Amino acid sequence: MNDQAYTRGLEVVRKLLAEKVEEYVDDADLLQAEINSLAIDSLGKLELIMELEDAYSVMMNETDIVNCRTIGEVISAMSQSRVKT
Amino acid sequence: MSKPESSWLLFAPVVFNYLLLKVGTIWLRTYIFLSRGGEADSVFNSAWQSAGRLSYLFRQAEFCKNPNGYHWREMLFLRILDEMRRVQLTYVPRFQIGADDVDLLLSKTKGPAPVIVMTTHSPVDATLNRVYRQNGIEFSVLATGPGVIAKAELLGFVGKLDVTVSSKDSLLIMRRKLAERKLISACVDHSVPRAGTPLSDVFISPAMFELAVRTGASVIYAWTTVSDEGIILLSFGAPDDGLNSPSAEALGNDFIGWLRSEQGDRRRWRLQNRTQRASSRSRIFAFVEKSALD
Repeated sequence: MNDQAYTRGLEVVRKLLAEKVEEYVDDADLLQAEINSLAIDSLGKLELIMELEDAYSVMMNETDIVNCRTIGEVISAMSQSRVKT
Repeated sequence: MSKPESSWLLFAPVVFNYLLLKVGTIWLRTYIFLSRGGEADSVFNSAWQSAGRLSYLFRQAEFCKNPNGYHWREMLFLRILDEMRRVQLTYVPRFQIGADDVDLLLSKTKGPAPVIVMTTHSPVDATLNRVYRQNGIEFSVLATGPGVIAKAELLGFVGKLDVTVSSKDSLLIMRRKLAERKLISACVDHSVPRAGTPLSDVFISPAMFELAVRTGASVIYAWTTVSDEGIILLSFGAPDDGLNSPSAEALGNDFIGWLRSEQGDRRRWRLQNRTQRASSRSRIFAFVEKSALD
């Protein structure tokens, strides 16, 4: 995946999660951040996924998302799904 | 007065109630054990009526292990079924639902949008599964664990139950099930013990309402209770027609209004704030503060 695709996803994550991801100053660190370690609940996760889906114009199968451990893996799955469609 | 003494004074009546409840349990267990040779229907009816006459033993259930603030009669109902199961007596509880309620359910499920049924926990809430099944509706139940299956079976549900266990992924999973046109049935309430007191606060979570708003799903409200005659009563309702493109918060508050005005629910429901870190831990001796309806 190219840097531009990552950047777009990271912008969405930073905007939505705001202070919850403040400690990840470096983008590389945020990509490695484990989703379950962030203070987001089921609704927060749904909002995050739907915002990312909007950003990448895709509709993900939840099984692809559930298997993603980190923010980077989610963004990668979104981007790859877009390439397929 | 010192703090330890005041704490003891606060808990002493609760301990007394708890002991009375234990006596009630022993009585009920013995009664059903001695009646186990009879037909399940007559054993249930007999136990229900006899226990109702000894209500002072069972009313205490409202003040013990009852963080959700259930009515003692509903708790007694489930306990009789449980005691009957202990002695291998299978009783399928009777339930009543109005024709208008079934029409509402069917019209929504046959409509263009998927449906989410919002209800609150009750000892007989799993009876809703029988209604869905009887009406040929494909559905999934949101639950905190597999205990929901045992409860459904105790309340007469036969067959495989599709359960979505609560997790950080459950809303995503339910979104897919809604896309597959499955009805989602969810208890959207939880209780939080109030620190330093035997009280609990009860909340309605906005999460399922948010899912409905984001997916365009139709919302149905549901209520389950038990009549004086030992029959499960079910009713459905719809959000206020005056709500145009409602937010999750507006829907949640409308649901609370429906519980109070249509069902006479006296519990002090509040809509959970997104920033609240609510815990659904139950706690012995916790009971719910109730308010008098105007």
